[in-house]
Amino acid sequence: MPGPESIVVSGRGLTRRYGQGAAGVDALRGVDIDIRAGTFTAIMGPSGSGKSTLMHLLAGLDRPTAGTVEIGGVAVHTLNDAGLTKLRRERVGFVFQAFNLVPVLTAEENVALPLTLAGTAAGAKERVEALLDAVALTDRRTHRPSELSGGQQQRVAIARALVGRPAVVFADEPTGNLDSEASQEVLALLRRAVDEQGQAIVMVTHDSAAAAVADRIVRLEDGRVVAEETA
Amino acid sequence: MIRLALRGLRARRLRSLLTALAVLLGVAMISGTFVLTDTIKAAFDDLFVAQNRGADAVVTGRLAVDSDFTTPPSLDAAVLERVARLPEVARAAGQLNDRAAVVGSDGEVVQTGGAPTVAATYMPPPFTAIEIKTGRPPANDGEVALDADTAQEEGFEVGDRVRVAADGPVREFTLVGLATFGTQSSLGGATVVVFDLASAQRIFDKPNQVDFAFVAAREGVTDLDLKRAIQGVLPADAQVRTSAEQAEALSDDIGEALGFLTTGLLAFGFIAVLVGAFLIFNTFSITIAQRTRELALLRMLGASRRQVLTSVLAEALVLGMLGAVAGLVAGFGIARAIDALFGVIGLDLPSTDAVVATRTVVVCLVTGIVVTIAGALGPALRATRVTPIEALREGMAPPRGTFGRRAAPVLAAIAILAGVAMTAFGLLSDGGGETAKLITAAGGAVVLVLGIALLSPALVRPAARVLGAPLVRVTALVGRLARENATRNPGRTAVTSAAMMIGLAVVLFVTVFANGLRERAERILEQTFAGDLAVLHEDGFSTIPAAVAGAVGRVPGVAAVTGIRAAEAEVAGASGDTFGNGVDFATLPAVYRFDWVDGEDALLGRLGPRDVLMEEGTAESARLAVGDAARIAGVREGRFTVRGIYRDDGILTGFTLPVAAFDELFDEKRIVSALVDLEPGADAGRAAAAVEAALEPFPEARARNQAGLEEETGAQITQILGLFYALLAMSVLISAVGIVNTLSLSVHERTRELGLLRAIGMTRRDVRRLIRYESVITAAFGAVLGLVLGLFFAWVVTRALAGEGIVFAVPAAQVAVLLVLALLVGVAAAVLPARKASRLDVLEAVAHE
Repeated sequence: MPGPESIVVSGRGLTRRYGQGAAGVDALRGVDIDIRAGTFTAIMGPSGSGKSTLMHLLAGLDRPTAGTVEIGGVAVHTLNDAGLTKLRRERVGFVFQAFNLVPVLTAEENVALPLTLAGTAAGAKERVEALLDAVALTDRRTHRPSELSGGQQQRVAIARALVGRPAVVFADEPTGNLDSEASQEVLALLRRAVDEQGQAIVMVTHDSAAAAVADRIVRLEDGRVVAEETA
Repeated sequence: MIRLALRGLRARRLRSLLTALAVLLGVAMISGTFVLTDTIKAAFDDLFVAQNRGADAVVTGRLAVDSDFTTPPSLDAAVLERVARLPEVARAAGQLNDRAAVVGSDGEVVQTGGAPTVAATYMPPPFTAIEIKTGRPPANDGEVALDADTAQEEGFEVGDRVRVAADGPVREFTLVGLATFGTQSSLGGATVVVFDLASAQRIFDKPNQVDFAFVAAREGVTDLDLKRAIQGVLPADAQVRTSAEQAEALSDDIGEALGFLTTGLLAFGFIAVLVGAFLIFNTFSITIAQRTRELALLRMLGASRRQVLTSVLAEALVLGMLGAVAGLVAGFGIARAIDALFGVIGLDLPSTDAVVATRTVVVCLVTGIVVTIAGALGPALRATRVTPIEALREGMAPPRGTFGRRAAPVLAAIAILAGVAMTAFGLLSDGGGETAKLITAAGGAVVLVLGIALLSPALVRPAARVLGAPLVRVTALVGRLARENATRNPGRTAVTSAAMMIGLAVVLFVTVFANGLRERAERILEQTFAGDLAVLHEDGFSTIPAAVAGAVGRVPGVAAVTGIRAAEAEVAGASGDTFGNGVDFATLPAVYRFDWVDGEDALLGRLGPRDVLMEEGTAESARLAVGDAARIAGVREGRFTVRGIYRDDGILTGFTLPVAAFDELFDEKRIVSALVDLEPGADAGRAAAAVEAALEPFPEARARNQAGLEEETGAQITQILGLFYALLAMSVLISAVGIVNTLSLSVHERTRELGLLRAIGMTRRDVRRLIRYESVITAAFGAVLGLVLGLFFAWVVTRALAGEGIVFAVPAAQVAVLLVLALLVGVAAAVLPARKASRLDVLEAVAHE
């Protein structure tokens, strides 16, 4: 786990353009951003502002038209598919708005998935149990996603995102499909991960209430950073 | 990842089962083929061993040609005595074999499909060739025994009077015993009439002759010693084998015949497997497309491409193994079914407990696994190309082709050209090894099919517009929706219909080909048969007594009768065995017109005892022209000069010799047909009735006029066609399963969309109709492609055989019926998915993810 204050993800001059010439769309126009360990960053903006695009680039899921991304000190654009795969296994965690879990696996197996894929059996069982406990779903660990409520599914997703002790967790509208009670639970979990585990979290959201939980809010508009607020 | 694969299979139970079913059906055909032929071979082997058990050596006449259809020369009783007197011999007994006919309980001659009715004589123990199970062996020329199977079928019991025709008019005998052969109660399905030796020698006019001599050795004498001893006292036209060698020789003959059967049946199995491969490819493609988000999620979480590939292939492997094992077991049922099918057309083959060779198990497992992996490989590779970001996308990304849009048509064009070239080369070129050419042609056919399959997605849009037009006319909205849906994913529609295409192509091919055969047979008869009636055996190809010709000749109104004798021979230089004929050239021209290639009618009056007329095919095969010398081997060998070449593949096949020359080579006294010419002005009806009356003592013979002959040949071909249809049923079934599979998956995929349609007011009936129309369009598309392919193959093959006079004749009515049936398959396949679609709960469907 990197020490506090160290930069875990950094983007420089990030630009993403779709299409060519006059018909092209500039989703992102030169964004610089640093994410530090132990911080909760919310990225906000109206639809079309490029916030999801920014997150995709920072997570290594997409390649920028221009600019560089470093995760844990590694320059992402130098990695081939195998390298990216390894990166996703070890250094990055994901939580989405919906469809986070593999339908045919139990909650337990879903949480363990990153470790199973990496082939690291050592200590896996305890880690999984600890996380299920942290999200208060120990009694539901043998249930399939179809047997869990939306909120419970998101909690399992969070546990899974944290299981591999990633350098950073990216959350894309994690409370988008949840009612207010479940949303609060999820946000509280994420907050706890930052406070107690020193986890770095980057959350894209359009919900101000959700953003209120974050340490820092980065606002985007038309592909550029227009404001930065610290809580 | 393996666990994921297994869970996935269980969750998608129905889909997995349907896929495994496809593998099962294809493998079952293969398993059934092997089980059937292995069992038959084992049964025959048992039979031969049991029959020869009592003897240590067997003496027979020696043939110049190795054939099952030519009667070897008989042995003189003196030879038997010489053998019996040898110090090494404990006992020797002779047996006579000949042809006979039994009149069944219904007054008609007992037919035994491909096997003739055999007359044999009883030999006492220790010889076990024939054993009397009930009653006692015949003791004089008023008594016979019958094989237990025939007796049971006809309801004969010991003590009954039975009518038997033995080389002459029919006579009545008393049935005194029922015979069994080794472990069987019939000899390979043939009917056997058992006489006592002395009586048989009188009845069949073979005084002091035997056809077989069975020899038992004294204690302490080895089989080889016995054989050597006997060899020393045999004349040149006799040979001796140890009973083990005899059993082996018989077994080899059967093995060869079964080999053809196995290859033929395996061809059908292969087609079924190929169709199954398409189905698997289709199912996996759709499943992978539906699991895009799940796969993307796994990639997002760090699964490598290889892990994804492994997972998908693991699924395929499990399904393949399940299907293969189940198919292996199902093969037993298939073997029984095919056996029953043959029984229907009169071929009663022996059987014992089913034989499952190691080879069968291995081939089935390997086939099942290879087919499933081959079908799933493309989709599996596609699965690895799912990018993690697709997990974040709403809705389903339309699946891209494995090779990309541009490569497919080019590849298709190459495949089609290559396929056409290979097929044409394999079938139409001269020279080169037969097997190699056949494999090239078969391979070409497969490549062509794959090429068309690759090209078909491009054809879906225009085809659907045409095929869907009548549906749009009936119901505007539903028809249009159905048409749009079929074209939405041309790749998937094409692959689904590919199974139907292959099935129909093969069915059409055999149909058109059979029709070509029928027309050819008719044409030949028209050209060559100049007589009014032909007297043949009931079954159309067995021999009848020569006395028939004499009896018919005496009928008032008959101007001339010619008997035609036939036997199998080897013409030096020609491939395979040839049937040769012996005729009386003086009387022949009245009833037979030669279709000359090189020769003229005037020749017939000038032919001498060393002359031979060759049929075109034989002459070509042996590279003989008029004036050349031909060496022909039957029971004995002889040299003849070719005086003319004619064309005929119906009545006088192979070659034709004057009777005197024929008798030099063969010992066949019976005739294969008697051609009758009525007096000009004779009342055809009355004359025919009179001929029938004259044939009363010969129950196995029947007279037919030209129309009757043509009808019979046609009927025979139709029967075999029916057999082919039954064997192809498996492939058609798989393609139907394929359509059902695709439709259900498609319905599931479009749950939300269908829910929406219902929500805005589409009735359940219209939803059902929608699915049905889509199915029909898919089936029709496959049928049209199948029509083109089938006609192409039929054309190429008939061109290849044009030298034998087969024409390309398309039976329009039958083809139309087949097309309609294909559409009905489409309708039937839609029933279940349509019902499911119409039963969707609207609210659930709209909220479906």
